[in-house]
Amino acid sequence: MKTREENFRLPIVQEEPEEKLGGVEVEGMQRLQSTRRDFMKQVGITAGVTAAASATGCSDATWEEYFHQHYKRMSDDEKAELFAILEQRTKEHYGVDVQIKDPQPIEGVEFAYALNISLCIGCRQCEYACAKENNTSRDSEMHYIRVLEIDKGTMDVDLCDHFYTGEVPKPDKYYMPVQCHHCANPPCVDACPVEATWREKDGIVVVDYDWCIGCRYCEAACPYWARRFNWEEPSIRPSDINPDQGYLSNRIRPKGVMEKCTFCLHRTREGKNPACLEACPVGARKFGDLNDPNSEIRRIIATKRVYVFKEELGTLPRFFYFFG
Amino acid sequence: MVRPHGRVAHLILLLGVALAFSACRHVERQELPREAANDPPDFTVVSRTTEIPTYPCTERCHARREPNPTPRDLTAYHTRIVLRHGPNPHFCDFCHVLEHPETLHRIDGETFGFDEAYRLCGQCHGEKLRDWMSGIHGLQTGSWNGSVTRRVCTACHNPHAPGHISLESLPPPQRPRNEDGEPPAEDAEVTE
Ligand code: HEC
Ligand code: HEC
Ligand code: HEC
Repeated sequence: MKTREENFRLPIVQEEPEEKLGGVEVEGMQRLQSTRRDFMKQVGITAGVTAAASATGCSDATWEEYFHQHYKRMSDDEKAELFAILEQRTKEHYGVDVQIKDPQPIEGVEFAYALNISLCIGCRQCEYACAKENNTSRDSEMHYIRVLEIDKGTMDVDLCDHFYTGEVPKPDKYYMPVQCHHCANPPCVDACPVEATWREKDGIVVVDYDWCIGCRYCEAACPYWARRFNWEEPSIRPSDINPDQGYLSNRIRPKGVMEKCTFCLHRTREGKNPACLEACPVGARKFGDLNDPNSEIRRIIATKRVYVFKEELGTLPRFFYFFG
Repeated sequence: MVRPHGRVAHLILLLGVALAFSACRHVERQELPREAANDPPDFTVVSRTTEIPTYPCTERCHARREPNPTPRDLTAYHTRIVLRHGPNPHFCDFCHVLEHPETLHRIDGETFGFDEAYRLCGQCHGEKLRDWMSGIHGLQTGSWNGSVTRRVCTACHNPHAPGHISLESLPPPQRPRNEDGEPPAEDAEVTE
C-alpha cells in the first residue's frame, strides 16, 4: 500500500519525452488538484495568501482554480470560468481541444439500467468502450465495469473470477458485468465525510472530483465494488482523449480522487445511450427512463424475471439484471 | 336452512371463486407489446445487403442459373452452406423465393427483403420477435428517448446454422499488486 503522503505528493513539473512514458503525463491535471490541497495546508500555516501562492511554485495557476467552490455552490459564471481553465489545461498538457459541459438532469426522468444475463457472453467490449469514453487512465487499467465469470448453477459471487481469458462464453459459466448501481439509497454517499458525492435528481450518483479528498471511505462502503481510486497520474494518449466531456463525468480526473461509472451522463442527459450499451455486440444492455411506462426498462421489469444484486442490503439499485 | 339452498349457496360460492380466479388471472397478465410482425417499422435497421457480396442474387447469378429446389447436400455451389437449423431444417425455398432468392417469403405468402428477415424468423420464434420488436432482444442503438437503430436477427445469427455466439474476450484487467509490486496469489478476492 502506498502511504497517504505519497498519494498527495506535489508533482514535479517537468517535460518528459513521450516515448519513455508510452503516453503523456498529466501534470497539469494533477497539479490542479494537488496544489489546491497543498495550498490549503499552507494557507493554514502561513495565513498569507500571496506567500502561499508563491510557495506552491505554480505561478500559472489562478485564483479560481485554488478556491473554486463545491459544484453545488458554484454560480453559472463561476462554472463557466472554471471549465474554461480546465479546457485550457488539457490543451496545454495534451495539445487536445476538449469541451467541458455540464448537462443538467432532465425534468421527470429517472434513469435505470437493465442487463440481460442470458445474453451476456463476457467479451469485455463494454469494459473497454467505457474506458475509452470516460478518459480513464490506461496504464493503471482503471475499468469501471468488472465482468464476473460465475459457475452455472450458483449465484456465489465470492467464487467468481474476473481475470478469465480466451474465448467466451465457456460452456459451464455465465457472466455478470458489475458497475455502479446508482442506488436510490447509496451507502457510498452516506460514507463520504465531505459531501463530495451525491445522488442527482435523475438518479445518477456523481462525484465532484475537485472536492473529493481521496479518503476511499466510499470505496469501502460500496457493496458492488464500483468505485475506483486514482493511484497514479492518469495516462492517456492525446489521440485517445474523448473531447466530449462532462464536469461531473468523464473529464480527465486528477490523481488521488475517487471515480466511477456515471451512466455516461454527458451522453445520456442529451438523449444518447451510455457507451457500454452501444458497444455490447449481443445487445444485453438496456437503458432508459424508469418513469416512462413505455420504456424498455419498464417493459423488462414488467415481463421478465428480474434479479437485484444484493437486494437484501436495501440499497435500491437502479441497475437490474434480468433473464430472457 | 334447507338443503337446496345450501346447494345454491355452494354453487354461488364456487362461481364466485371461479370469477375471482379469472379476475386474478386477468390482472396478473402483463400488458405485452403489440404483435407487430405486420406493422410498419418505426425504427431503422442496419442494412444487411451491403454485407453480402453476392447480393442481389438474381442479378449476380440466378438470372442465368436456375436454383434447384431438390433437398440435397450442396456440392457445386454454396458449399459453405450446410443447413443445421432445428431438427429438420427446411430446404432453401422455404425461406428464399425460388425465382429471385434475394427475396424472402413466409408461409402466409408475405414477401420481403433480407433487411426484414426478422419477419421470417418470427414465424417460429414468436417470443424472440416480440422481444426484438420491443427493443429487449438484440442490439438497439441510437437514443434512449428518440429514434433507434436495430440489428436484424441475421446480423447475429446465421439463418442457415444458428449456433451459439462466441467471441474472443478482450484482455483481463491487471491483477492488483501487493506492497512489493508483485501480483498477488491466484485466489485473491475480487475487491482490489
Ligand atoms: C431458415 C430460412 C433459410 C433457409 C432454409 C435458407 N436460407 Fe439462405 N438466407 C436466409 C436469410 C434470412 C438470409 C439473409 C442473411 C443475412 O442477412 O445475412 C439468407 C442469405 C443467403 C445467402 C447470402 C448470404 C450468405 O450467407 O452467403 C445465400 C447465398 C443463401 N442464403 C443461400 C441459401 C441456400 C443455398 C439455401 C438452401 C441450402 C438457403 N439459403 C436456405 C434464410 C434461409
Ligand atoms: C420453420 C421454423 C423456423 C424458422 C423460420 C426459423 N427458425 Fe430458428 N429454429 C427453429 C427450430 C425448430 C430451432 C431449434 C429449437 C431447439 O432446438 O430448441 C431453431 C433454433 C434457432 C436458434 C437457436 C440455435 C441453437 O443452436 O440453439 C436460433 C438462434 C435461431 N433458431 C434463429 C433463427 C433466425 C435468426 C431465424 C430467421 C432467419 C430463424 N431462426 C428462423 C425453427 C425456425
Ligand atoms: C445483437 C445480436 C442479436 C440479435 C440482433 C438477435 N439475437 Fe437472438 N440471440 C443473441 C444472443 C447473444 C443469444 C444468446 C446466446 C446464444 O445462444 O448464442 C440469442 C439467442 C437467441 C435464441 C435462443 C437460443 C437459445 O438457445 O435459446 C433465439 C431463438 C434467437 N436468439 C432468435 C433471434 C431472432 C428471431 C432475432 C430477430 C428477431 C434475434 N435473435 C436477434 C443475439 C442476437
